[in-house]
Parts: sequence; C-alpha cells; structure tokens
Amino acid sequence: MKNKLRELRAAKEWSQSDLADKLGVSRQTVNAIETEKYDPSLPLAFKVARLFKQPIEEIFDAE
Amino acid sequence: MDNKPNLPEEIGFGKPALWGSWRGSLKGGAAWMFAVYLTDIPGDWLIKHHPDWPLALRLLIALLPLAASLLYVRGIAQWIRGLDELHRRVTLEAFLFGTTLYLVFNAGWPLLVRAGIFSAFNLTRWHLNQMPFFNCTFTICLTYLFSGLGYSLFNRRFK
Repeated sequence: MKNKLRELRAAKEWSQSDLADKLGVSRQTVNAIETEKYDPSLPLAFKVARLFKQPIEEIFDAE
Repeated sequence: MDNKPNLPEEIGFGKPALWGSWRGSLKGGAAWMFAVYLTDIPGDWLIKHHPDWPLALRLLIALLPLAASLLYVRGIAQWIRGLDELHRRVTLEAFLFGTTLYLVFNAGWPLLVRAGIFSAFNLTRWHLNQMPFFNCTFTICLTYLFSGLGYSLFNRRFK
C-alpha cells in the first residue's frame, strides 16, 4: 500500500523515532510502513491520520 | 505514561548475544524460566533416587516445573501483548515456527535413532540417541532457540 508518511513526517521535521514515540510503536515499524514493507492495522492508520489531522485516504492509498 | 512498546531484542531475539537485558528478560517471564531450570533437573534426580517417598510428594515435585513452565508461558503472553503490532506479528510467527520445529525435531529424532544413524556414525558416546524430549528445561531451551531463529528469519522482511 502506498503512503505519504515519509513526506508528512519530513514536513513536521520529526525523526522516525519521534514519530514512533507519538504513535506508541517502534522505530522499525515506522520505517517498515514508510518503505511500504508493512501495512498498518486500521487502529494504527487512524492514529496516524489523527496525528497529521488528515483523512486516512489522503495518507494511505490502496491503489 | 510510558508509551514505549516492548521490543523482541529485550529478551535476546534478533541479537547476536544469547540474552538481551536482564530487565527485558524479566518482563518476558525469564524468572519463571529459571524457576523451571531450578526445579526440573533436581526434581528429576530426587524422584529417581527416592522411590520410597509418598506419592503426593513425588507428584508435587514432578508437577512443580510444569507449573513454572505455565507461568513462563503466561509471562511471554503478557510480554507479547506489550509489543507493537509489527513485532507482535513477527514474534507470533517466530514462536509458531519455533514450536513447530521443536515438534518436528521431537518426532523426527527417535526415527533417526531407530534408523541407527547415530550408531552408524559412531556418535552414541555423545548420547545423541538419548535426547531428553520430555524434560521441561530441554523443551524450553530448544523452543526458545528455534523461535529466535524464526524471529531472525521473519524479521528480515521488515528491515
């Protein structure tokens, strides 16, 4: 699944560790989502959307 | 509030070192694992050398490591609940892999013994034909080792 997590994080000038702390996950999880090796669960996707104040479909694209 | 998830590396998974930090290991129920080690082998020795002891006492000695094993499994389950979703998935896959591999090993080893593989290669003096599969310590160690191997394999996908 394609996503805009890396761009959104870069716009806020957060490191992967910063974002991981805010989401309550590990840095490896953030990296795996950004590199599209792992698709987050629905609750985590909602958390990301709420954090960046954007609708889920703006951040994640199922193609 | 501590927002940090548990990490498999804390209990030595995915690390070259056999053990992670002591604190992390204790979170993963390691105290119960050591309780298994402390009650299993001495208990086995006591039962073998005191056949005259009352049945209830012998039963208690025999069941102590099993009870500690169950508490260890409970500790691991609680620790898994504290992992984040990616690591929970990888760790559960790893434990499934480890348990399955242990069962295959457990079932396959006696076949190798019966086929005379160890005698043919003159390996009997290493007692390879007498693996203690019904021993709690051996079971935990081997399953843990295989699960660690599984974790290293499955975690590579997300690196």
